[in-house]
Amino acid sequence: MKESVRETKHPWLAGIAIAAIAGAYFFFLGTSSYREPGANLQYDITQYTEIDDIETRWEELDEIPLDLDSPRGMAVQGDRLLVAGTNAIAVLDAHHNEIERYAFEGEPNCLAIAPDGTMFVGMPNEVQVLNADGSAGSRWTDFADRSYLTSIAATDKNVFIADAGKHVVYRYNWDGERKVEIGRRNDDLDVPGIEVPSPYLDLAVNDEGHLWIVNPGKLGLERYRPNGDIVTSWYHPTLELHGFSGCCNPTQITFDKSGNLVTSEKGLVRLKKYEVTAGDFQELVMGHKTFPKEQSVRDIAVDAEDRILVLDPRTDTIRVFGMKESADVATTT
Amino acid sequence: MSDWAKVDRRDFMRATAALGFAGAAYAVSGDKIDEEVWQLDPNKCTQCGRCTTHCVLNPSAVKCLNQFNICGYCDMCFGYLQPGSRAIDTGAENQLCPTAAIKRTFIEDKYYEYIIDEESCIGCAKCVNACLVFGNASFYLQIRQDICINCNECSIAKACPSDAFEKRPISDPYMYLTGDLESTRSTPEPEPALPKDFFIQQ
Amino acid sequence: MNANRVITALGTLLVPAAMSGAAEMRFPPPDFYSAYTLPDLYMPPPPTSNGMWDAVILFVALSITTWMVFQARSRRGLFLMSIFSVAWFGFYRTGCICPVGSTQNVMAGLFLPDVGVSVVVLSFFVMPLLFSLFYGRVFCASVCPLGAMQELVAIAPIRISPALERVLSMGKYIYLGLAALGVATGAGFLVCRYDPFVGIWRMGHSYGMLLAGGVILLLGVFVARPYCRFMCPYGVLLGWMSRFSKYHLDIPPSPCVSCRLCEDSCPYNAIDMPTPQHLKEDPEVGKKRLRGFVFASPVIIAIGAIVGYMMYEPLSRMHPTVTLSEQIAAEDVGLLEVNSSLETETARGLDRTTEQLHSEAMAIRENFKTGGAWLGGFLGLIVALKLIGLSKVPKLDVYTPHKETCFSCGRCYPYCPVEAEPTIA
Ligand code: SF4
Ligand code: SF4
Ligand code: SF4
Ligand code: SF4
Ligand code: SF4
Repeated sequence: MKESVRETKHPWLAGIAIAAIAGAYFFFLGTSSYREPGANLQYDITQYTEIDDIETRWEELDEIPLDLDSPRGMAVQGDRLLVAGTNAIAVLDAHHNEIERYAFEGEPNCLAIAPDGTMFVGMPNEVQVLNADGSAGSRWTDFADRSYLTSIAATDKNVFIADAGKHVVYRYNWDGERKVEIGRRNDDLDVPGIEVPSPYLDLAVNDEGHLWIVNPGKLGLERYRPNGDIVTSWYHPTLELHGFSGCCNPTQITFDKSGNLVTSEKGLVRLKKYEVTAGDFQELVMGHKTFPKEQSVRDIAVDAEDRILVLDPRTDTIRVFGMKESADVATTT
Repeated sequence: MSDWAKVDRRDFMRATAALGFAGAAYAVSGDKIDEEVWQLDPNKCTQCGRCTTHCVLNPSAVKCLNQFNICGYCDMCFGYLQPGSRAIDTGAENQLCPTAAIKRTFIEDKYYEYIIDEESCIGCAKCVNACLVFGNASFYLQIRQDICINCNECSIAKACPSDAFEKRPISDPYMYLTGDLESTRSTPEPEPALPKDFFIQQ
Repeated sequence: MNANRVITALGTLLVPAAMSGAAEMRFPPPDFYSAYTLPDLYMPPPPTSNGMWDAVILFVALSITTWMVFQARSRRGLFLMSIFSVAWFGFYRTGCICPVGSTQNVMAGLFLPDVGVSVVVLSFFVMPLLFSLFYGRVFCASVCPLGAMQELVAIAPIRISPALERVLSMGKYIYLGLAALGVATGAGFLVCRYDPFVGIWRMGHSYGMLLAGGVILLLGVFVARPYCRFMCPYGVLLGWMSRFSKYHLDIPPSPCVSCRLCEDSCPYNAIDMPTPQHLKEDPEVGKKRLRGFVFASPVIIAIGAIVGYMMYEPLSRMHPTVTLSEQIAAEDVGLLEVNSSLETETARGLDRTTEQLHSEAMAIRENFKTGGAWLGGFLGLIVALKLIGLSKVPKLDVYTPHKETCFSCGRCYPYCPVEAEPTIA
């Protein structure tokens, strides 16, 4: 096995050839890159984020900064706005200046205020009652470990508490006694059962005293009597503008001054209005463009002047949306 | 080769030098003498899709998993369904996954189990992305250690825009959405049976 | 344009979602009325003990090669061994981890406080060096898959002038220095990233790297072992060890008769010829020159260090954080479109603010100043040593393999007509 080395007859030619090959080597090294994932490997929902790229009758009026740790729940009483964050409730006046601050202990998920000013702060598995003057009231702790309270509504007789962890809504009386569990599947009573795939379960009581509960997994709403009987329901599962998308939506609901339903969604964050009884879509308030980076919002509320308040987790502020001045010409879709 | 078996003083010096050199190298290498493997932190991943294309293996050693105790068992699973698909069924055209790797199994009314078939998954993170946006974020990517050839420098690690890759001891080679392996196992507490008349009182 | 849109959609939706997702993690799954229980996750363990086996196989391969080089003196045997190494370490074990790459792991263990080196990796690094210290570069002869691969394709090698050889072989010192710099500053493992053959062994890599591997093999047909001679950083260490090796391959098994037959056998310029009579100069002249270079070497080293220090900016671009921060800065002043790459897009969505990123990058740049100076100083030292070495005219009477650069490949065996002395064999 004899291998030999050649003397080159044309050293310059050989040199140039070798230099060229070596050059190619460094060129390939320098430009070496992997194929980038193509469009069919990318999750593209631009076509749906564009749906709400339409002109609406609404505009952003204001953004209220908050001096609170992880603000999570809002409640409106008259022209006072209450926001609950870790260990404190901040009370803002009509000009959004903080006028008072009540202390409690814990990291709240939700807040409700009763007509007489009593406040109910919902933690993941506890409710703390604060009297109208801010002094500590009772604590309701009869919740399970896996309870995850996400919403509270208080009427002058009852307190409704949504438990996303147990997929149920409780009716408590003011003394803190659990009276009824609402929304658990019951075939005899035609209650379909609230499906809660993610920690969002909201409820709201409108001026007529009707209790509306979101059924997130079914992408719609259900109305119940306080005794747990279901009255009516509507579901809109679609990515189109008039419906709700994803596994579980809407995430937040509230009512405006004229009794219409205001909803917000996660995934593609959209604020929309519905006629509540039949679930007819009315209009888009604000769409994905306004919340480009939010996955969901923390809470929504409607203030005394019928403006929509949104607690934005990205900025930890309250964003205020109102009707445009020139919005008399209805541009409802 | 006349001195093949002769050992002289310089050999001792050489041996001492060699041993000292090995010992020093060992000493500076610290006490982390466990072998190491690559893993990605699913909580840092931003689903860019490079895990599919930048692995030296084809298909990639990165696969998608469903962490069941976070999963909502949603009927409308957006990790499973193509957005905008009209019907919720298992037709391939309605599936989001480019390789139809996600298997949907009926559990009970309105609840479905989603399991990813490792053979077909290419780790593109499309479903992870969708589940994060619309669902519970229970899908996540992971380097499967039985597939990964454990490159000295993982080529995805270098390309990952969110810096999600790290080296882990071979004895603990996986990372989960919720922390350790135990945290992926929690089964829900059993539901207490309700008295039938509970709904009717009042 | 389409791609841009996709990326925009991606960025806007996902990045923050990733951050706010944490809150949802603890949410329990539904209560199932049926007897369904959550399946456990299937977590296949990584193949253990493979590493130890690899180390054992490496040791055996080194031993066999040593035997081939010294006892069997068989070029054919070494050739077959090369085939085995390419097949086993290259194609079957996909090239990782190899002693060449392990250099970086060891350097990481040295430079970075929180990085350790496993026993397997360490043994991969140390074993060939130890063999080299005693028997010369037997690892390069036919155990190293990179070297073996090139050895196999070197079928029509041409001679390169020794001067060019010397200049080009500075490449491996530069590469070693850059690799060390990359490890010390956390920029990554350059040697692995630009490993020419690993893509071929795995049959998958970026196209550029596959092409580069192909090109270097093509080059290797004519210029034998280009990677080994001009780039390999581990080869530098092996060469140093080999220089002081106890035993080394001899071309003739017994006294050389200076028949000049082996002169053309080595494609690596690794055979030192007997010094021609006319070159044997007055020792005083040589000593003078030597003295000059010895005194000049601190200056050369200093110049190297200063140049290296001044190069910190381009050097620092090998760190991804620095490039990222530069890109973001360029975007912010309008030189680039905002979110011009997936990296900047993602970076803007992360918790780390751009200010933090910039200051991180600044800190890394500072490291590159020190690192650049070390690198320059190291290269200066090498240049000085080479000059000193050059100025010593060897006084050789027989054909001898150069202990530092000889790969112990055995190509010269068949040329030497001297028979082994029967008493020894
Ligand atoms: S490369 Fe990084 S960000 Fe991209 S999919 Fe893989 S882990 Fe996620
Ligand atoms: S969508 Fe991609 S990551 Fe998800 S299962 Fe399919 S191939 Fe795997
Ligand atoms: S270490 Fe190599 S094989 Fe494993 S995931 Fe990274 S690139 Fe793929
Ligand atoms: S010089 Fe480097 S690449 Fe070449 S055989 Fe030796 S260790 Fe391997
Ligand atoms: S064994 Fe050494 S001297 Fe002989 S041909 Fe190979 S490199 Fe040259």
